[in-house]
Amino acid sequence: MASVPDIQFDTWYTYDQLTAFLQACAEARPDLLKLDSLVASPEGRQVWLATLTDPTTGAPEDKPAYYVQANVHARELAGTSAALRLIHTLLTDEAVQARLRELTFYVVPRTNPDGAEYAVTLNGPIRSRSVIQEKTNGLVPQDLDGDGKIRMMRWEDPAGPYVQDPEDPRLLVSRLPDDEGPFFQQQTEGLIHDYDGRAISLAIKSFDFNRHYPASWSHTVDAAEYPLQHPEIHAIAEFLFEHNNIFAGIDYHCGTQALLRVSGKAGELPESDLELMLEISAVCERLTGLTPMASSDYRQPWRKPISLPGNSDEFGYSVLGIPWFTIELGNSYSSAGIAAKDYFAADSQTRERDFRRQVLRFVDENPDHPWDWKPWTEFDHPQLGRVEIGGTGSGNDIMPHPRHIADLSVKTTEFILQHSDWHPQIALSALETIQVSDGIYRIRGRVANVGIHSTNVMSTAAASRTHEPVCVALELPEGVQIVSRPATYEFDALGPRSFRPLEWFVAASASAQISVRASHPRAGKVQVPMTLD
Amino acid sequence: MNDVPAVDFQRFYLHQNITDFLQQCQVAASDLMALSSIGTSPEGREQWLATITEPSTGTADSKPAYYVQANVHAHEMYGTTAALHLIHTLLSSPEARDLLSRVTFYVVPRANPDGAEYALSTQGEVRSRVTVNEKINGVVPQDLNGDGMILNMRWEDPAGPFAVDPEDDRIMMPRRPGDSGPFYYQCTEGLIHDYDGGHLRLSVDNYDFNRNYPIGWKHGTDTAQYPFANPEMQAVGDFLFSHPNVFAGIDFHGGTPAILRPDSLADEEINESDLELILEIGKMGERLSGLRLMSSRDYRASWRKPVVLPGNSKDFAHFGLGISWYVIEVGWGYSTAGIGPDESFDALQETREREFMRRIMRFADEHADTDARIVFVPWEDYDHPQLGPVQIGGLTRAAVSHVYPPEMEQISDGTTSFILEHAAYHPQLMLSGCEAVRVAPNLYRVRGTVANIGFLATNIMSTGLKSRTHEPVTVNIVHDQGVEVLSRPRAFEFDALAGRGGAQPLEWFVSANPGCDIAVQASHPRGGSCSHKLDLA
Repeated sequence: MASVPDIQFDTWYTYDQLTAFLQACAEARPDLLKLDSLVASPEGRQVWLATLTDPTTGAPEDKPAYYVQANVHARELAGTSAALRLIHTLLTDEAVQARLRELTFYVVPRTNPDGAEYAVTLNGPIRSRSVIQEKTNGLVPQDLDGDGKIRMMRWEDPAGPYVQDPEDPRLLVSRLPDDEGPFFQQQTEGLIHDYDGRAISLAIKSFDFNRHYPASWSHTVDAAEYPLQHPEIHAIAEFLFEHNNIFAGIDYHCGTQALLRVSGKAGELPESDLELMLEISAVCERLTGLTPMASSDYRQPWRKPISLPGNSDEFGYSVLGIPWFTIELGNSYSSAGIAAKDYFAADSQTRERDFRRQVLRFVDENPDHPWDWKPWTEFDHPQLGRVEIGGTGSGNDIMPHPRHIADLSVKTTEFILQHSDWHPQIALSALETIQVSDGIYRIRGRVANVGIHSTNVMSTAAASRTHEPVCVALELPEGVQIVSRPATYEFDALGPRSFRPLEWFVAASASAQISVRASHPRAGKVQVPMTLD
Repeated sequence: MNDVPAVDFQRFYLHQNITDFLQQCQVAASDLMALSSIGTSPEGREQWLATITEPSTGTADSKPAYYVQANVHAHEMYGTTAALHLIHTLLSSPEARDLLSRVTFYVVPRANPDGAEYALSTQGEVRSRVTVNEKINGVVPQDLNGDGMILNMRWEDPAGPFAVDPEDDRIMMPRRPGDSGPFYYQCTEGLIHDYDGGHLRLSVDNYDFNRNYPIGWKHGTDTAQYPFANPEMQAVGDFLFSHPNVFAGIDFHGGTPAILRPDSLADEEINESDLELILEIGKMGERLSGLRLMSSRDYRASWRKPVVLPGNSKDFAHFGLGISWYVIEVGWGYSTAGIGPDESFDALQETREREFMRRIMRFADEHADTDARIVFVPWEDYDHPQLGPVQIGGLTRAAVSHVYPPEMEQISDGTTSFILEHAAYHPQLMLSGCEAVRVAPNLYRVRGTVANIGFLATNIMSTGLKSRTHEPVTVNIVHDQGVEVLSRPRAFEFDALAGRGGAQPLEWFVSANPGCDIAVQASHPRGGSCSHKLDLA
């Protein structure tokens, strides 16, 4: 029988490799993992959804569920690897697997397969999706020198804004008053549409899928016409709305290392929600070392709080009503040993010169790094004349060293597993029945939430489209009838470690087997048989 | 003149009636009008689009365009009448011909065909769409007694919240001190889902399509999960985004009569020059239609807080598209009975529930012969399978929500006048001073000026500069082989041209042989196209 494949951490996954990995997992453990596609991307690639649960204890939608996605931003490929680590651990570590009796995990290792493929193959400029927009003097990124990558081009110009770094001439840096020439112009490798010698700009309409959710969405920030226009994010949002058993979400990204939660200055978020997010964040920090931050603080300290309208943290918290975090796994700077707080505190000259030198030194010392730098090589450009092509592609800054992801993903997986225990959990207790009169029985009991979260999880869940009440009903055979009301109990929410009383009066002409059933999408189902006699 | 069908002001249009009317229009005026659909509703009805322009001066999408929609809210089907009146006027009035040579009209007389059909046929409660959601003790609206309508059910109970009006026993009013019985419970006609004898509630999700636009959208005020989740509204949005020639629009609604102008979003102030424009055009509309210009913020009782309508069409049109857009509230049951805006806004509950209802019923009685509305159905006994003996009937939604149909004739005259005048404010490109001077053998300098002599800037509002539909004004030289433009830019692009004479200079150096001809060509989706031929001497 097939076995669960190992994860490759030495390179990032192409679409075909990812598909093969997931299919091999599904073949190895068809009992625990179902592989489906949420939607086909515009270029025909599937957005894979792995659903993991132990089906012998219930269907996936009948259990509390934890959701993980990755690689919304095309170049942030390490997220896919980290998401696969979670799948791998759940399928191979039996101690961890016990959770699958109680929980479902929904994992989307690559939300943006088209963008990711462009990034992992050509490494051209792309945030989530790049659409070519031909305009005069518009540069269309292309691999001109046939090396399979889109790098940079440079050419000398006394008025050029760039100069070779005095310390590491591989780098082009912004010129400063003390710098000596030669000076350079620099553009992404490519051809220029309708070039007439004036200023060149990228002929790209750039879309950021992480500004595309219907939560504080802004038309001046998102290049799309309206939220959920992109089929990938549309499918994800529909999935999240429909699966209201989801009680937490993680969005894997690459950037300066941090654990990001929804923005909200003190006093803006309800205290109980903020407290819960801080507690969860503290667990993450302890296990992973990632610094928890509000996304509005994810910036240089002297800047105004940043706003990220339409991002997934905002959507998860405000619209779905669940704790949702973005895990920033790191980038080339973190891998080169530059701590997050030092990166934020640095000025632009330090970043552009000192830090990039440090990254190149790290690359030199670690030749297995997938970072791919090419010496500047002469090329005869049809429009610009003699240029040099070389340097790195657009994504290299964002790519951490795979070894660091191999390590960090173990820790983030451990965080996810511990966090996944923090779900509401339905229980029935103190169930009793007595006959109060001829043919009439009184049934009493309690329905409780013995979990650490409310069934609402966040206060925002009360008004969410995903909201459902806790329901408690009796399953009765023919001939037995409820004579009291309500027949079915509905509680708007059950807070953590709290209960509500239940009481029914039931008419039965003879002894009968009944059961009490309590359920909530995020808290599971429980059914207890009772005998009326 | 031609056989454009007359608009029926005696009654409101069912979907088939609209289809027939528009098809007859297209046959009668096939040179001017094309009939198509912007989308199909979930129940399979077309959202009809009438595209009207004079074809000899250019295709519909090459001219500035004026957009009109109606009946987004299901019970506001008289907006359709106003839209059809506009179509009729455009197709049959000689005065409109000149306008149609410069402007295209896109008219969607019924943006929400399913909701309107439900409202007109059943009188059921619906804002734009209702879907059943199966709640415990939930009343699912249905026609129980087979009269085709979803009315009210009432049954006596000393604790009931409703009393019968002693002056007009058709009116059920919330009880007040001093009322005498019998008292009643009242709810929508229907069966009760999962009834256990507990308190009843409505078992529907009621969607308001005018909270479903993406600007300022809030999930707490829209029943839908996300902007444009309703396919009818996505069709409207997709149409407007794909037609950047649209420079102005009207959204017909029903309510206290008014012309409603864009309000501010919560944290944004309206740019002053935009506001001035909004007020000037709005005041013109006030003059021509007799409807009062108001901001939605003030569209309420004076003692209420400013009204905010997250995700409504005005904010979408102003901030998202940057165009000149108004909601026209043509009236409703109150106004048609003579209760004007001032009286209506400041009335407190007792007046609304009693005096206003009596005036509405008196008006309906006085006009019974000519009023196609059904405002009251006599209470009929019915044995409800769950509630026992009840009565079905009472006042219909039409009483409060619908205007007296013949009033639409005078209202439409006013709104059509406003629309025709508003449409004339379109941007309009022209080229002036175009000349070619020979500066050397086979080398010509071409100069000229491109100007916008229309009233509105090509970007219409300042917000238009950030819209997805924003396009620059482009000017280029059209030439044969053997002519080459040597200077740069080859094609001029100007972000925008201000209205009423905003202009930019043009200059090219062109190599050509004498005797060639070239043309300077300027175009913008909302400014139209123009060109000027030059002979190179």
